[in-house]
Amino acid sequence: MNKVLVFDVWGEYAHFRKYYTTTSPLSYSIPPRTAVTGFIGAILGLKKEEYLKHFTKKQAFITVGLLNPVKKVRISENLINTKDGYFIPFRKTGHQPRTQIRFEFIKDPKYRLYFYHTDDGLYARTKKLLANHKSIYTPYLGISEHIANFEFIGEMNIQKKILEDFVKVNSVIPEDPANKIEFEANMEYFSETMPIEMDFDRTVVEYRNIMFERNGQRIKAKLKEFWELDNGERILFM
Amino acid sequence: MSEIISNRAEILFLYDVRDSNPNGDPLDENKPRIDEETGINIVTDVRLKRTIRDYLHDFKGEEVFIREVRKDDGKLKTKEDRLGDLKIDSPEALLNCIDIRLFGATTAIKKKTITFTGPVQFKIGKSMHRVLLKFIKGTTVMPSKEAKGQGTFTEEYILPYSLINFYGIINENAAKDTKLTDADVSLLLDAIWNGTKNLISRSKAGQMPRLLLKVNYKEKNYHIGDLDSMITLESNLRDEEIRDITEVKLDVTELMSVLSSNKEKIASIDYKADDRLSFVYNGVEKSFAECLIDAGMFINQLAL
Repeated sequence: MNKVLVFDVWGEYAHFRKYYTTTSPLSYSIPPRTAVTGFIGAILGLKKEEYLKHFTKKQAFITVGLLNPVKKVRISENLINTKDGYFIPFRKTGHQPRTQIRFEFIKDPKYRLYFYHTDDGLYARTKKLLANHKSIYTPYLGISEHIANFEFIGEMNIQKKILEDFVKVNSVIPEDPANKIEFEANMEYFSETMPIEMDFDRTVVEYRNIMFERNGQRIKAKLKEFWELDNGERILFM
Repeated sequence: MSEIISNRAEILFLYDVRDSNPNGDPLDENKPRIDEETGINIVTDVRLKRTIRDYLHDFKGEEVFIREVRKDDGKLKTKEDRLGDLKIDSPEALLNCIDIRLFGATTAIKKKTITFTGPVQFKIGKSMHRVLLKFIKGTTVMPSKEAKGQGTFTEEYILPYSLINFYGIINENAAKDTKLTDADVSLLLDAIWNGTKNLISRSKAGQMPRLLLKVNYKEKNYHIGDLDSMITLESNLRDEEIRDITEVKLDVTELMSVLSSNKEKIASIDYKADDRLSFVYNGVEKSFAECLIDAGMFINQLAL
């Protein structure tokens, strides 16, 4: 790996559902790796039954940087109550026709995505689509009403670095005991356990703790190894 | 038979409400939804889709899957009843319903999960200005109980004015899966405009469609995106004091310059603009058609 595609994505809202919240859907603060693979799959026009087989950790290198502060809001929606097997709004004793659900949304999300793929054809196709601002399916952030827009920043050369010093990192930092974080004043550090890889039947096979700074500031860390881009940005893959 | 759509399109739809509640929050006393950080009124995408579905069913006689259906005894029908009525025994049969062709669905038939991603998706709608929330108290003439001599009090929240901006995309690739045709899209535009106008319930009376724009692309797999943020509202009044569409002007300079720079990729523009709306392009007041022609667009006024 010696190059990476860099592009920004944004929208008005986003919702990356936490897997353990079904009736009160909460959102991850940043798109998990699995959500990014879906996003790239939509740009490439891969069907939802098949895209996962192209994005295993062996083939696809992905990470995310925060460009806007993480803001969460709750919006309630009136959904059809499908309990008891009713799909159409149905009122009877013990069954309400509708159910009110509070969704947690991320407001004004903007992320920088970094992507490399071992399949030259798929990588080249992604690059061409991004550069021409094209997408086969409508890209969105988590759920379909959060339609997203994107901008190709460029293809950058990257180099693996091994350094003794603390450096500032542009991407999120996946937890690793070998890494040391230097906690600074006026920074808000968060870490969330997120799905990293799914099997083809959508069973999650790997979760990882991902650290980020809520306002999109770069975290200072001493890392076992990291990747440095042409433009000086430093990243770790999720 | 109408053809399955072959081009991508972006939709921009503006409508306004006066002294009404465009979309109540069921978990907040049915108050109009307001983004507390910005004072902007929010309308969910599902509210607009409900408007479209109701119009297509009630006015156009189209088969719509997601709607309230009652049995002869006044009871609502279950999903299984509905599936039986519509003779739906396979996922493909669901596509006889126009709302599934437009918006897709996630459902289960006989324990088999079916997911159709809708080719037509809308973002959450937002007002183009900060809004004022007003609390109205009223009385009813009918007592709540037999022995009472007086009616009861009512409480509700309304917006004196809100001009709402919706953005959507029609994706030609997803259209292949749900077999969305050109005729369906014509009906969709009809329903967006006339469904909004004909939604005459107590809380929605006074809704008026103001502008509908459909950008038809000839470039494959391309759309500009974010069109909704390219129109800005100008008014001499403070945002919260706006009460009528004639008190605002829409500056379309950014939208027109972006359309113009994408001229090679755009086949045509379908539009309908309300006569009471004023547009400003490069500081000059013009009709919407003139703005589009100046931007070098092929235009087609929608007959809705």
